[in-house]
Amino acid sequence: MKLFTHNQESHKATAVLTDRCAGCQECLVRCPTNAIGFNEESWIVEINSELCVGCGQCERLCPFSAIVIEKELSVLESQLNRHYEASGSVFLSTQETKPMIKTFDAALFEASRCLECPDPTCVKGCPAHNNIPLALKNLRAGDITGARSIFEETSHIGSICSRVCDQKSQCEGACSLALAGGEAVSIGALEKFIFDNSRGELPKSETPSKKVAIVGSGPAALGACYRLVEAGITVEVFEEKDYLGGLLNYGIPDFTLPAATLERVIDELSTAGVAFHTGHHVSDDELELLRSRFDSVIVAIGANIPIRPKVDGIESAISIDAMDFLVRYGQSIRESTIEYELYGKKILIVGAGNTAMDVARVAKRLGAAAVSVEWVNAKFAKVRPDELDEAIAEGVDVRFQTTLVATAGRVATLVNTSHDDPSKLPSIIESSKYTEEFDLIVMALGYRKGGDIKVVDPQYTLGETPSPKWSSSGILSKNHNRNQVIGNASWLRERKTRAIAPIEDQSIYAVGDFLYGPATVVEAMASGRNCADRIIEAI
Amino acid sequence: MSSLIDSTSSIPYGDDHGEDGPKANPKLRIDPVAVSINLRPRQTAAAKEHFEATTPKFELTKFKVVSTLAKKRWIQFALIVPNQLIFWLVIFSGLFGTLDPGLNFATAITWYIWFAIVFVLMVVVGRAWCSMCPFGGFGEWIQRKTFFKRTQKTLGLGRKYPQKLAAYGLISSAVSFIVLTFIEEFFNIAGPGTPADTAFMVLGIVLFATASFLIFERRTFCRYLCPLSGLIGSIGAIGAAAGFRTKNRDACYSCESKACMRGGEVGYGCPWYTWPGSAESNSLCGLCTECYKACPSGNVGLYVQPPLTSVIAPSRKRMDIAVVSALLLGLVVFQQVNALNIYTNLDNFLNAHTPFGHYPNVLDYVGLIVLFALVPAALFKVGALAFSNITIKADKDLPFLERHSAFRNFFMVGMYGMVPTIGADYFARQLPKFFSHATRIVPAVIHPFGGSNKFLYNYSMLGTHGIITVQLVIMAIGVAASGYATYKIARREIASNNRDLATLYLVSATLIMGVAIALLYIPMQAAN
Repeated sequence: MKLFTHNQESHKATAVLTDRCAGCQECLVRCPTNAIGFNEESWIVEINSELCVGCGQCERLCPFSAIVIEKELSVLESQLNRHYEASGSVFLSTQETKPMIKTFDAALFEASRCLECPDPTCVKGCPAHNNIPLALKNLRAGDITGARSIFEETSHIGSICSRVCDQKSQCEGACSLALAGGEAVSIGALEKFIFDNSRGELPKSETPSKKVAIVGSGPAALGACYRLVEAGITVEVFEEKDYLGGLLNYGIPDFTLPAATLERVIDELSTAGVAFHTGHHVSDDELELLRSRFDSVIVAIGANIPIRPKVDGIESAISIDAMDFLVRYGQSIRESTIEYELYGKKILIVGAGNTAMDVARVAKRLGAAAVSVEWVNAKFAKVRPDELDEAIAEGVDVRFQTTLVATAGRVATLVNTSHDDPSKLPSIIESSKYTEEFDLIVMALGYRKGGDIKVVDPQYTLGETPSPKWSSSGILSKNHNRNQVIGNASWLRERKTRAIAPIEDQSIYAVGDFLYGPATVVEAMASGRNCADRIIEAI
Repeated sequence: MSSLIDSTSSIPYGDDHGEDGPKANPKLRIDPVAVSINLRPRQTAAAKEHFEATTPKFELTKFKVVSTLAKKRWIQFALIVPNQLIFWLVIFSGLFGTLDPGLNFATAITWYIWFAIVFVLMVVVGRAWCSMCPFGGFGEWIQRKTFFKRTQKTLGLGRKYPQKLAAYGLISSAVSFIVLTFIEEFFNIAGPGTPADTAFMVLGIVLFATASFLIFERRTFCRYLCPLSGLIGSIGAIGAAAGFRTKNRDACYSCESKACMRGGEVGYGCPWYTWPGSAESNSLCGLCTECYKACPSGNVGLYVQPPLTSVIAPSRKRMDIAVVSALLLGLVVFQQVNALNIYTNLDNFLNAHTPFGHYPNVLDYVGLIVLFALVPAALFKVGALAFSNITIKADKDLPFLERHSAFRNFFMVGMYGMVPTIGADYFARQLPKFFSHATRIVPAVIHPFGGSNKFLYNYSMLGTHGIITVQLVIMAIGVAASGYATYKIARREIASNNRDLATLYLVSATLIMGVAIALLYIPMQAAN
């Protein structure tokens, strides 16, 4: 079922420049609607305007700019409401805030907007390279389980990824419809719908002879876990904390990733025979022990050392790390053990990244006023735009180009910065200093690798990442990119992560953020999965 | 940073991570994104038949010397620099040198030597001049912000040539040639007249070219706007350089990077909008070697071909080249006729009775060019009416180059056939200046900024009769080649119930026109 609308008047708005079409057919092979044909006599392509929906992939890919698409995108408009309105108070709310598809009809409708591109840029945009068009094709045919199994070929934690991924700069940012200036297919919401409404089946490992230990239980660990279980290998997970999931548990609040979703994933793995050990710290010595007991050991402890701001008086002040804050108050909300100690208080959050937004929004849910300060210009901020919008809609006071320079007791000294060049650090405007009183200061400046496992010492970082004008999918979201291959930057990142081989030191492997520094959940998951593939191959 | 993003070599990805990067793990070198699996199939079944006749056999880049040189990024720079020096010398000596056009380096080299060399290169090689052209070279240096390095950022607006004009291919170039020739005649620059005028003309072209390079992307100027592009593009087809072509066409089709078109790590994407994978004529290959450098799999080579191949063999004949040929024929015959008394009378008459009071009168200039261009058109129209079996389709909606009709069928065959005659004509017309005055380059070089030594000044290599003889011999070769080319093309491409008769008509028409044009050289008496 394809639901295209055709604007009769815009039929003339497509053209092939017959003078310089070289007949390479880069356009023809990619046209989703088969609107491009080939004239064997002139050895050039021809375009059928009636079939063209105006996605412009041909125009973007033509090496000689010999094809012109000026018609409007004629694909059905999405009916999904993406606009978040914090209706009333969010006090004590655990309601999910991201857009959600509620009915099967709505899912079918949204899935039918997918053009099923022969060269799907969304697949390049997805760090796990899920075969999105094929999954949506299954969904359109009414086969939710089939759709899920397509996703599971590359990622088992779709229920998590669909909630925490920044789709706008990954799959949806790379969607042809978005590249053509339209509304992308809501891949994230569809993935969520598929995973929430189906059950995956994992084979229960039967008398397996091989055993793998995984240190850590975050996304990289889960990614590896699923792959190993599938291959019939016995897996034991050792988690330092007394809860599972690493960052996925309290690091991402329930209004983004409900506890039940993560529980379902862990349950699925437990049922399949994975043994989870919580509160089990693994030191270097114990790692040696694990090595002797298991065929391989995967170290997936992530990057969990918080970065501290260099601010006068911060150590003695009323400050707390973001992760500690999220665990403590996330737990109290989840378990309804709230003591209202934050009610009516004013909280300063240093940083305005995704974690900072999470902290601020949790604070709002506990009745506090939240101020988030970030010294970079809003234009260059790393926060997810939708996350920022939702936080602001909930009443978080986000101040870009502002930073904390000193604290004394409850008094914090803030200062404005000037920041016009993304390649340089912001500079402080001394004359703009002002003071404000806060009851609590939360430091949310991100994390770095560290910890006390020294047997494997990953050194590599991804280093230079593509320029900010590229979305992180590597696909320029504007039309025409001066004849560069679409997705080149995502290839670059892909190459870099692949080239950093999971460190293999006599059957000990390092993966995920622990291997190459803080990245996204889905990249960590893919890293764990790749490592599992290597182990399976080696065993 | 940009070089990282722009590196097309990432597909399929290799292990070029630089020195500080981690070592690639060979075990992991599998395609991480199985994306291309859904691509629609390319339609290449007819490729063998389509390209068979034009596929050159003799590869120059098989020779180590040629391939090594062609791989060097500085090679085109090295070709351009001598010409670049000469043209600056032309500008300076034209502006500040002696006023005697016969002794001034600017006029002497431009009109006695340069044009003759360009025509020889054009007829023998093809776009050889384009590979060393100082005008395009100068613009390109500025556009690329480098003399010869591969940079990723360009200067200028990077616009595309307007779609409406691009639809007519090389015709804009022919128009700019006609305009330039008018300016030359109007100011008597090519006579040669005042050396400063020559300098101004050269400067004007430099400015026009540089401005075009800053407005448009790639070599839009060279392909569409350069006055010589249409001329070299149509007549250069006689030449023996096939240009850069693919070695294995299938590899080109399956190539993912298409770096020869988009630009790769070492080479720019084709500045001329020509793909080695589908080139079947030398007429739009500027011999700049960029595709040869860019190709990630070494699948491009420089080839030579028997003369006339690009006239006769291409499966796709281009209407713009046929029209350009007709216009160029009109122009060169006008230039022949304007050496005759009858023209002088007509021009004087028109100057006296129309608002335009200066030689050459716009009316007779444009009128005669069009008139002479219409002669072959009329002859081929008659042929089409008499012999064609194509019923004209209502295809007005198709782009200019793609329309079909009985007239077009005959016109394209005939005009492609006329190309050798037109080439010979341009060459022959240039000979009097060369043979009578080429030696003036010696005193002009000795005294580039003036002087009295007139050594070799009045020496003629050939007398009037000698020149006419050479002109007639060249025309005879051109006309014979035209007859042969017309025959070969017509046998294959003419759509007629009676192909023999149609071919006979077309060959006769080209021969008659050729002979008529050749005979004009006798009354011209080797005039400049």
